[in-house]
Amino acid sequence: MWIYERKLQYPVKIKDPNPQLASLIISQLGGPDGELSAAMRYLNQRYSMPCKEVVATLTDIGTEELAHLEIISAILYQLTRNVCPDDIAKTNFAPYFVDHTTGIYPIAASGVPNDMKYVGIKGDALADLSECQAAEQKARVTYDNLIRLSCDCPDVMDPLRFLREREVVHFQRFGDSMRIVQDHLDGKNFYAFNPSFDKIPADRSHSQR
Amino acid sequence: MGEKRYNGTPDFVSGGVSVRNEKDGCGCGNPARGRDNGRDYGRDYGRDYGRDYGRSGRNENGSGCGCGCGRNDNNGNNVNNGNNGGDDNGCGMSCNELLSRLRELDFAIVDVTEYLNVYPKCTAAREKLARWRAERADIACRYVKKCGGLTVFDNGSWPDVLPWEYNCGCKDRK
Repeated sequence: MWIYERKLQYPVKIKDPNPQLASLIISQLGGPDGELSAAMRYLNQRYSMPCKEVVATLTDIGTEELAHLEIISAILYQLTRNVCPDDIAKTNFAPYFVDHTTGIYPIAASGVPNDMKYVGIKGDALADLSECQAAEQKARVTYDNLIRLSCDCPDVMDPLRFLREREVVHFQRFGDSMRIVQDHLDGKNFYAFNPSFDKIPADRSHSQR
Repeated sequence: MGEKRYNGTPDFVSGGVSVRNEKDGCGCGNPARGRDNGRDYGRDYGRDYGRDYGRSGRNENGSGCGCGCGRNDNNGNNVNNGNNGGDDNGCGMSCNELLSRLRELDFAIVDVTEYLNVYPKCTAAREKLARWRAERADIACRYVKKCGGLTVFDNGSWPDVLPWEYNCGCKDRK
């Protein structure tokens, strides 16, 4: 279970609303490489991992992604707070406003709602951890692009930089996890071996090496 | 956007990334699991990694007020002498300062916990985690007493409609 604390992992204090920018940053809420998809991916992938270290890593990083989700939501809320409809009509935020007003709804910048199709869970440690690493890199690139587009808004760029840095650290932790899994697998055959199903008896495993 | 245009890769990278100790794995000198592949994946908690998020409340000489704020006067004496103008266990720190320190410690704890998931035998990281958790508990206790609950289990209920600090849960918004 989780215990909620009423503070953000990183502070968000945006002075000037900017619905145009919100229409872009929302991709990190509900987009294919967004925080919601990341949290769902890691918190569900962890059950089929063969090592307790990797389960712990996925649990902790999945939990941190929920904290990042909250940071993104806070950014969106503050970027669209007290904005009049006339100003919204001039921006790409208008279509979103029609459907959701200024509520926080997880969609991509392209307008596609969040979908579990973005989350790959294969039940194989190597396949899933490879996806985790790729997801972190894709999220990092998305943050790079958002930072490029928000250079006029330092209040927004600051938390985005923090989030971008965390993607890099998570990529490193998943790299560590990948090597732990490989250490536990058959050294000659670990790319064709799923420890969840392909359990080799001890007497046979020795002869196959 | 003019001159503010953002070009290229951001000039910030993950802090503290360094080459691991190939012999020990984690870099702290402790024989943690290690894989000598020459690759760099570790936040090296076994070495001084620059940003000491969990700076100790007490100074190296043991002085300081001991509450985690690290405040001393010029003579190294504790500033928390009870004459701090109505400060109720905040040790001279405002709610915002306490919250800021909480954020720092929480970030450090999250980071070192993720590190320990894969290097569980790194004694340097475990020592830092224990120290930061102790300081975090102390700061959280002071925050709750002075500024209100951090969780629903803390004293009283949340006074705010929304639970985040920028929506004014704290008395001193300065």
